[in-house]
Amino acid sequence: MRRFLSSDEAQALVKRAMGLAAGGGSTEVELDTSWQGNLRWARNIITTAGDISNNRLEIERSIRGASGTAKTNQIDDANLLAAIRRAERLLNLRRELPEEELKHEFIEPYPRPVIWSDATYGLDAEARATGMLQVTQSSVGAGVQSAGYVQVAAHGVATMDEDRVWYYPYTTAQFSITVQDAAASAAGWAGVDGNDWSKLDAAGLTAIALDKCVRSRNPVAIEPGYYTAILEPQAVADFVSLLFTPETLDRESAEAGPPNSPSDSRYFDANLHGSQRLLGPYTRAIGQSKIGERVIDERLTVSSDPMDPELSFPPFHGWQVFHPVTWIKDGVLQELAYARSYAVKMLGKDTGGLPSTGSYRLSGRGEAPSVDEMIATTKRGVLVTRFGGVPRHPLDVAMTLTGYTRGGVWLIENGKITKPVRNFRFTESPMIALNKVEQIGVPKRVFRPKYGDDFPEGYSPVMVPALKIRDFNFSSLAESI
Amino acid sequence: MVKRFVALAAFASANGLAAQTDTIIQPGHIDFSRYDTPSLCVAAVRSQAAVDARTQPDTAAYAPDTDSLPPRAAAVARACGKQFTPAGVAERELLNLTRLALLRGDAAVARSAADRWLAMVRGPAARGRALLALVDAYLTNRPMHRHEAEVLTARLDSLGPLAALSRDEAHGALWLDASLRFDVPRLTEHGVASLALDGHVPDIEKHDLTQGSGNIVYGLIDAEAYRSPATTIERVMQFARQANYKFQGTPEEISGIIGGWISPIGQPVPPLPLPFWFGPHADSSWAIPGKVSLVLVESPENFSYSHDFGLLHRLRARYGDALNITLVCKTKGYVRSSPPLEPAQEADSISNYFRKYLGLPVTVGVEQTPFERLPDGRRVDGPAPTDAQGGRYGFGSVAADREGKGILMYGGADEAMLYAFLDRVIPRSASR
Repeated sequence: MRRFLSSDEAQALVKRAMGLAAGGGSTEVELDTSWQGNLRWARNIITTAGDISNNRLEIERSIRGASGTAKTNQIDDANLLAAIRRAERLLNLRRELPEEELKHEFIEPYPRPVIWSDATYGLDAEARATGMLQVTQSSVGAGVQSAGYVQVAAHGVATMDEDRVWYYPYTTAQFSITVQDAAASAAGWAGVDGNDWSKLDAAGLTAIALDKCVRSRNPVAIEPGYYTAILEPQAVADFVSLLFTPETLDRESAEAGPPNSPSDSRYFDANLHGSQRLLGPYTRAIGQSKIGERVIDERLTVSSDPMDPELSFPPFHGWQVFHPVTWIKDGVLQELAYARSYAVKMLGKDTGGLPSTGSYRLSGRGEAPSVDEMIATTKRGVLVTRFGGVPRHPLDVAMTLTGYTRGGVWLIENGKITKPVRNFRFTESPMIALNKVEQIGVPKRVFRPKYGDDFPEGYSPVMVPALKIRDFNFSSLAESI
Repeated sequence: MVKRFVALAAFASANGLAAQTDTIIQPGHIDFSRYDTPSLCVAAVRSQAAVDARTQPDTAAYAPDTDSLPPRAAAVARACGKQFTPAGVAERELLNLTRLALLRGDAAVARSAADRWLAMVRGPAARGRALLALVDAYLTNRPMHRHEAEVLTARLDSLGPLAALSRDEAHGALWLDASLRFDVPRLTEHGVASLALDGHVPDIEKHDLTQGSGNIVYGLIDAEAYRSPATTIERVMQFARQANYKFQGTPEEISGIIGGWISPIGQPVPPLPLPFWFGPHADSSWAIPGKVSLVLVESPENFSYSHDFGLLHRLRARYGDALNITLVCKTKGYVRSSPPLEPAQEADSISNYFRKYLGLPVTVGVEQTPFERLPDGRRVDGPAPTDAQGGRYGFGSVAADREGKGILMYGGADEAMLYAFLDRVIPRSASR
């Protein structure tokens, strides 16, 4: 049995919804139809396993420029009708804007990346349970406690109106495992995500987590301070991703308004924690971004491309098509994200926008040492597996973040790992840290916890390399394992 | 409290249904028993009035003496408020009982509640705030009780400098009402009083004033210029001396500035040399002999008045051919969400939008905004010719009379002010 709506079923659903609309005007529907299978375990015992099917439907009704939106996940006639009437009631309370009827959409073809995996879609509850039994058994055998989860999902995202149907199916797979020793003094972590479950090496990741846990036993406390830090790819992603979210990459925010209105009081909004944050790492001055300037190490490049075979993502959101973009090339900021309205108004270009999904590939130029090679060239430093507790908003305009190390931290002395150390809290800016890079590894796909269910925010795969960063500020010890 | 919210939700839901089906709500059928204080009823009436204003915007000219509450809000006031008397409510509810009685049209109960409310307040500052609250209740009620508000303001004035902030606010409110009605003697009286009181209000409290002194001074200049251009400077300076108001500049500098503002009055209006014209009187000599001519300048963000395009239809209906309206827009490279456009295409789109799509009875002139591109590709607009003229052709500045000479437009883009001014310069016999 199919567990989410096909393109034909989605079209039929929209036709049905449009047939229920009353009073003329237009109807636009966005749909995320999905199946998700999950399994969680803790203390080596499977605790939950489930399958969820859902249809998240957002219906917008527009009449004479006024519009109203309603959401539902019930697609029978009665509930569809109720949602449409709700949207129509809302639009009745809104001001009519006849000029909005003249709205000019920019419709362009979208690319067709391969982000579907039968292996992922075929990982049913029994297969998930059987696979994880092996994981938990290996933990039992090693005398440690493990906890983690597997999540596989298949989605069909769609945007539809009276004239067009855009539908795209994709799959996702995630695996995460944390291992603790019996004395709860040491922990090891490993995890990854991707589109194809068959390419996720759960057994290999489990072995890594077990190894990290074993090597983390009896950690010693060392003095906090500035150390050369070798961040494994997961730690890099946890630390720098805030620099590449759609909000941070937004060009209008970076330019803090039109360049000819520098007296706009909005520029001086100092509420950095609010959703209206206007100053960011790519703002040069009031009304001016850093496009064309070097912002990070000159060996680093940041890009995103829905057709990237290792990092593909659905090619559109709404009517907005995602394009291949190099945001930063050789350390120089090349582009920031913008909407179609910005392209027309500010740039005089008849194009769609240049949106960001939050997905990015951070890659380096030149030789790409492995983590072991980075360790071998380090006199005194700290190796970090990952970071936890990193906030989604920075502490200040320098993008300073704080958080703590998790899943295994070791002291490096004279080119060798000498001992596990207690976890640190760090206080450091990714913008500054990416200007203190000594060595850059090979980009790898990392684990990305979902922030929400909505695409693009909830699905933003990332590939980053391990980085060796000098003078990384480990500001205090952290009482965690 | 939860029960009250449930009751309110049911009430709102019932109203929403009424708005949908256009069925007249029968507030008598709504259970107001849980609305056990006047303040709750006042909130209910205001909520209903706000819903009515959204679903049926009031587009009538400003007539505060005869304006009434929307019928459904008035019905809620009657049904909800009938249970209260001055003797039967807590002291802290007396102000809201006054408001509720006014909303219900029961002046005697309002007066009685107001007297009790004032009797319980001690000290000039607190008494000043109480009197100001009552002035506000009488002024903002529909219909307005202006006479009572003025009597209360006189009582407020008797409290002296300790109630300066409240007095200033009360005179400011009366000034605004007079301004909206273009009542030159009253706006002068209350404007000068407000300016005089500014000197007694501590600087930090001036931020709390609803009417800034700048607005009031501009209003006085406009009113004097309309009344007698020849004596405007002298009279305004006299008002300033009377109120001990300090301009930011020497008297000579200020006289020069005011003189510049009012200099077009009585002179033939200059042409508008714009590159693109559309409509019946489509050329730069925008003043049509025999008609009052009005130029409305759109902001750089074209169509900013689009939410108010109904105003132009209403002006047409009110004054007919006696009023000639010219709409001046500026190019900015696009129209709404259109692709980028060349200036001529954009001008054509703007004209089509106003004259054909919205069907507005106007002549449209479009000026070409000079611009440059920054190295990062962004467009930066320079000043357009009408900007260089200081917005002199916008709402709130100069229009032309039937001889093509400048007459001062009363300040502000408010529809009420516009009617108040045009009613004076276009005799009713000349309009349709």
